[in-house]
Amino acid sequence: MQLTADNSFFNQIEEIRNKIFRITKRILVSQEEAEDATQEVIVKLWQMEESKRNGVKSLEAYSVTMAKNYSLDRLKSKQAQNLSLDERFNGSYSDTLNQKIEQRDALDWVGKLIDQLPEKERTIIQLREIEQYDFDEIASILNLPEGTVRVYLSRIRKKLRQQFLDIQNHGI
Amino acid sequence: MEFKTIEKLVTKYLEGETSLEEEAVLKAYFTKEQELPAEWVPFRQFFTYCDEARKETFPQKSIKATPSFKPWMLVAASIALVLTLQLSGVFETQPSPFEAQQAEMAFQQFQLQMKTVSSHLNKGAEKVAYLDYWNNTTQKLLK
Repeated sequence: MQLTADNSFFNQIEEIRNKIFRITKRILVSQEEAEDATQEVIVKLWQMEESKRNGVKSLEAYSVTMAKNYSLDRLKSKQAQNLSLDERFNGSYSDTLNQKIEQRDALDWVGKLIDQLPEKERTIIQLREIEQYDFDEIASILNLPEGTVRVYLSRIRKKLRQQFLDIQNHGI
Repeated sequence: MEFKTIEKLVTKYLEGETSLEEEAVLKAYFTKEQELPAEWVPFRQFFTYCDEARKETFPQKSIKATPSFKPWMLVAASIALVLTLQLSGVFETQPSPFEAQQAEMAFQQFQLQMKTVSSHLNKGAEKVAYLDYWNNTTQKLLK
C-alpha cells in the first residue's frame, strides 16, 4: 500500500536526515543553508519513484551522495554571485582565530579549522572522521578511486595536525 | 595500550592507511590517556570534536506524519471566532450614532405625518357635524 510504503520511507529517512544535515552543513558551513538544503534533498528523495528508490542499493549512501552534490552545486552558484568562501576565510583568518582561541572552547576551533579547508577536503573529513564510512563507500560517494581518497585523506590529516600544532605552539 | 603500537598506528593514520577499527583504537587511546606527548594533544582534540560532531542532529521538528489537528487549535479557532463576531458587531446592543440619527429622523417624520392626518381628520369631523344639522332639518320637514 502507498501509505505503508511512505511510512517506511519516513522511518528510514529519520536516520539518514541527520547525516544529510551534517554533510550539507560541512560543505555549506552555514547552519541555515544546511537546513534548507536538507529539506530540499529529502523532498527530492521523496519525489523519486518508489521502484527507483527501492532499487537503490543503499538509500543512505545514495542520499549522502545526493546531499553532497546538491551542496556543491549550491556552493558553486553562491560563489559565482558572491565572494568565495575561501576569500572570506583568508582575509582575517589568523588574527581573529588566534584571538578567539583564547576565549573559545577547543572543540569550537577544531570545527573552524576544518571549515576553512577547501570544500572537497572538508567533505572527505566529514565522511571519514565524523560519519566513519569505509574507503570504498567514500570512493563511491565522491566518485573517486579509493587510492585517491586515501591520498587526499593523508594530506588533509597531516595538514590539520600541523595547523593544530602551530596554534598550540603560539600559546593558548 | 603500548606506546609503540600507538606510534605505529599514528604513522599509518597520517598516511591514510588505517582501517576504521584501528582508528577506533587510536581514538580510545587519545581520549582516555591522561599524559599525552604534546604532539599528540591535537589528536585528542580532533577525535573529541569528531565524536561531538557525529551527534549533531537536524534541528527542526520531526518530518514524520503527525496529525495536523491539535487540541490547542480548537481553542485558537474559538477565540478567533468570538473576536471576529465581536468586531463585526453581532453582539452590539448600543446602536451606532448614525443609526440613532436615522431613527430620530424617521420618528419625527412619522410624527409630522400623524399630525397632518389628524388635522385633516378633524376637518372631516366638522363636516360630519354639519351633516348632523342636515339630519335635524329633514326630520323637521318630515314631521
